[in-house]
Amino acid sequence: MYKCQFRLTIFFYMHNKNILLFITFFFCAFHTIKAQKQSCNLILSGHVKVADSSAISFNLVTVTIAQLKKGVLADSTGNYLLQNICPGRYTLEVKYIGFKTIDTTVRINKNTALDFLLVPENKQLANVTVTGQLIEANKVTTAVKTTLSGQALDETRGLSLGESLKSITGLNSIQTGPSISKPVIHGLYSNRILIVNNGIRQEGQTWGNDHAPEIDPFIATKITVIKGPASIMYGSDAIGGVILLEPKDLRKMQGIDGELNLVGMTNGRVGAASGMVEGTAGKKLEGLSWRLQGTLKDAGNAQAANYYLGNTGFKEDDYSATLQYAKPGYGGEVYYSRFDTKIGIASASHIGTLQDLYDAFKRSEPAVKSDFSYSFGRPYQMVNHTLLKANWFVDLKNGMGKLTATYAYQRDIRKEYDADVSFNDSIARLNPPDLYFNLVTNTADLTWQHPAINKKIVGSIGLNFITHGNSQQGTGYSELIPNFIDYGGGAFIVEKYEVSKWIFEGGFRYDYRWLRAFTLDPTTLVEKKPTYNWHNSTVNAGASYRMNDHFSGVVNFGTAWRPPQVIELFANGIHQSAASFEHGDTSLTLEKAYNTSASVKYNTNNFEAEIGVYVNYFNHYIYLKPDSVPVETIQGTFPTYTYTQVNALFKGIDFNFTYSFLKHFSLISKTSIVRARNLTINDWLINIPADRFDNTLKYQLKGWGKIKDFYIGINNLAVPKQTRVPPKSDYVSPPPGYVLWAADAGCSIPWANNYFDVSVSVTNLTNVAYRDYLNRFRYFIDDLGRNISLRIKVPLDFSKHHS
Amino acid sequence: MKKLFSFSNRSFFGTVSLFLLFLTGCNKQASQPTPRPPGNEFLTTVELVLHNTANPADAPIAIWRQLDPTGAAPPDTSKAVLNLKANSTYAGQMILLDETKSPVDTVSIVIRERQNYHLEFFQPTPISPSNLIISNTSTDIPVADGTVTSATGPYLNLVVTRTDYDTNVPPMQVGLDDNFVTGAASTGWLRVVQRHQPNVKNGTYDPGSADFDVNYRVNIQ
Repeated sequence: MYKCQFRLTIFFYMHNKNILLFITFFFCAFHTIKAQKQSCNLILSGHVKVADSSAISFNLVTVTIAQLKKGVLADSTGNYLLQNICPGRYTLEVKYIGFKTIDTTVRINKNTALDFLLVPENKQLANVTVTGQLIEANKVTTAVKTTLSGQALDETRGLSLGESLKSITGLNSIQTGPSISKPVIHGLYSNRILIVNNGIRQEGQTWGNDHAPEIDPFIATKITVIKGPASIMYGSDAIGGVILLEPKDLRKMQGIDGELNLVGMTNGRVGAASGMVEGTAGKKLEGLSWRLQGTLKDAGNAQAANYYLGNTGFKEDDYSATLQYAKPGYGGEVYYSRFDTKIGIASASHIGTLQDLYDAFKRSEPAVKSDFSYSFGRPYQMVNHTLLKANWFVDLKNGMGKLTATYAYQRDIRKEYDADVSFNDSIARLNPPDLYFNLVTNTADLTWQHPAINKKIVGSIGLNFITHGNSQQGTGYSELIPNFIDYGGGAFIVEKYEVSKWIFEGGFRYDYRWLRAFTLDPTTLVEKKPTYNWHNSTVNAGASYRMNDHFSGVVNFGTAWRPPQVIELFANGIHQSAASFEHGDTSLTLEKAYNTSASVKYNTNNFEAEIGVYVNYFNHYIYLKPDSVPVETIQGTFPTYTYTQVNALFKGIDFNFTYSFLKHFSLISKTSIVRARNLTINDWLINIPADRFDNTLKYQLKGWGKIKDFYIGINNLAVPKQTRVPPKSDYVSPPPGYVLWAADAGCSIPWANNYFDVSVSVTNLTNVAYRDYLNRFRYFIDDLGRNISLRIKVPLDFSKHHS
Repeated sequence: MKKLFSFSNRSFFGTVSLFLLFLTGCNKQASQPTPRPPGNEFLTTVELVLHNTANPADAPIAIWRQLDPTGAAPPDTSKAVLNLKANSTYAGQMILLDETKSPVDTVSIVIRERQNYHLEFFQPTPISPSNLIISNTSTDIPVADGTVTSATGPYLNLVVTRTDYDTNVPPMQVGLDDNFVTGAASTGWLRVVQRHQPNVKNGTYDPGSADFDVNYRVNIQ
């Protein structure tokens, strides 16, 4: 039982560029029976409101206690809760993009309620902004990173994860036709990138270029991309970077709310619906929150500029459930998610021989014409990913810090069905997959976040444990990768030190990995059990400097390594979709990267710019090297490739700026350039993204009658031809460059005491026929033609009657 | 020293140790090699079995064989030679085998069952551009699909025509049964390709993909 003892409202009137800033404080004191004598279990809670009732995403409002390096995000209705606070005088910061940051000092000596009023800033900001200097002991602070959330994330709804992230400077995607897309960070992809889904390393069949991440992006309200080796916290193999998908915090206050997203696209006649409902258990079980979420997607044949792409439909259904119990001092969470998809592979890509590949490339359009259809047949993939996560945290007594334990089980099943059914009818009738992989991953993590030393140094020490077991079945005779099991263990320490305008960060990590494969010689039927073990350390050091409100910078050096993958060790057969014969090399050793990156940010009221540079040196970089002697098989002659190790150097620049002019207009410009060299033979590396220039002109209006946050924009994307490729490494030279136009418009419309968001976007506005160098189906088919998308986001509130 | 851990802390560590115990073991399937799938057929051998319609004793056979389905070992092409008499007509059959099985499995029986989406092509070379005929009834392979024509010769004087039809409506040729007609003495190559064209067979080469693509040496004496 508590009641407000006194309420004090202070209004600050500050004239700042015609903006009236007023902060309202509500001080509510809790009546508790026990006297809280210097115990560090005080609670600060309250509500964040918006001055002009703009529709903002409250769950992205951060409330931070600067001295404690402690921060939380508010829930979807603006409520926030900070726990385990020791009595004292603190500086509180309340932040939301596009609004004035509230910065105030309060004394907390009992449970306190504080309400805040956010006032819009005078300027429009870019869609994508670098996260601020929120220091959290369990997060990377000094890395170069970009966050996608709010409107910028909403604009990508309905797209796959790989396509969603392309709006971020420095990111690309490697595609296999219109329905399979993998993210590329600074030219690195697949197993050099780590995807962390709700705190868990995503463990799928990442080795294949046509194996897209098994994730429904609708689960995240915030996607953070760390560009560079964030290997200390997330695992030694985060060489290229980390993609963090984070759902919003669960609802803390009583009631039930939800959200419905609907997306329709003309190209492929895609329909997607994603719904979420969340609530709390009520007063009897205070601290218990839940959330249910699900997504359905259905797509038919996509369309290039001049023809339909036969057999490119896909279906996807995903759902997740979260149950969380949080009390002052301890709490836990159980999370379950399931991802299911069936993806058609463009029939034009089916080839039996190398000659077929050359023939396909000579055709201006596929040999067999297609019409629109939602149904599709062989070849296709079926992928299923299950994640079960449980975690638990306790605040140790006597301020000894916080312990977090996390366990996760993942099962990734990938079935690939080739175009050809088996010669044997009794088998063909069963329609078995040609490739069937079943990867089971168990991970266990234990982290101790130690108490601040001298109130200046914060950090964590952690242990990670991981084991994989991969088995394969299927009728495909080329045993692409043998069965294997592996065990890995790692220990890390990461510390942060803040002094005036600097934050220094350093970390050390040590990993050990053991692998045993179970191979079968196809002719002699002799079983072998090659066994490997690797171990190495990684270090990271970084600093961030905030000179003033206009100028800040980050510099980071880090190492990362990964053991060779099973396919790189043991591959031996025709890689059907690539029409190449691939050999593994069982003598490969671990690959190590040394990355230095720096970024500088400058912003004023109407101009914001960020420039980032990076240099990434690889020792024993593993890649597929073309051999000089082709292999002859019954299907014809194939070029052969062998996995080889060389030294490599990646370097590049990411540059973006936003210039606001004439009150409502802004120009948003993004440039990504990457260069990658094979230092061993002094040549370019293959499959590196071409330069990318992305420019948007945007007109924004805060209010238009009852309509809020209206915007309309036009976008130009210019990608020149990739000319930096090694000779004789590819069947055909890279496709010519292309220029695409796009347009979008959106607004928030009042509805039932709230706002729903509507937006329309058109990509490839002029319906250009083009092919992208990083789309592996560029041999066969054009990329997507014009696509018009309609997106609607409806917030739901089932708890109106409570208030 | 003060007591650091309460009961909840101890149960916390207990749970963690249980997790670790649970993680070791499991995964029996992954810790042994997957046995070869039984019964599935590979294509190891393409045989051309011919007999001279005027002389039953003249029955040449050419065999293209690769017993290692992964292609790691080179194929045996020592018998991939067709020795034919000049100015003769041969009736030919194509036999496809999976010789990794015991007894040897005849894949061409299954191809016959699925004749409605298979089509065989036979391309003699060297061939003059004027003799390369691309039509729904020709066994020639378009230039775009790899045929190299020669303006000067000397040419291989061989014409192959299909003699069997599938049950499509209207029926289309298949090519498991063929006629080989030779002209004057000459030598060259015969490229044989089986096109796999499920639901897209239209008599031409382009739809679908190739099941095999092999070459025979041809001597016409």
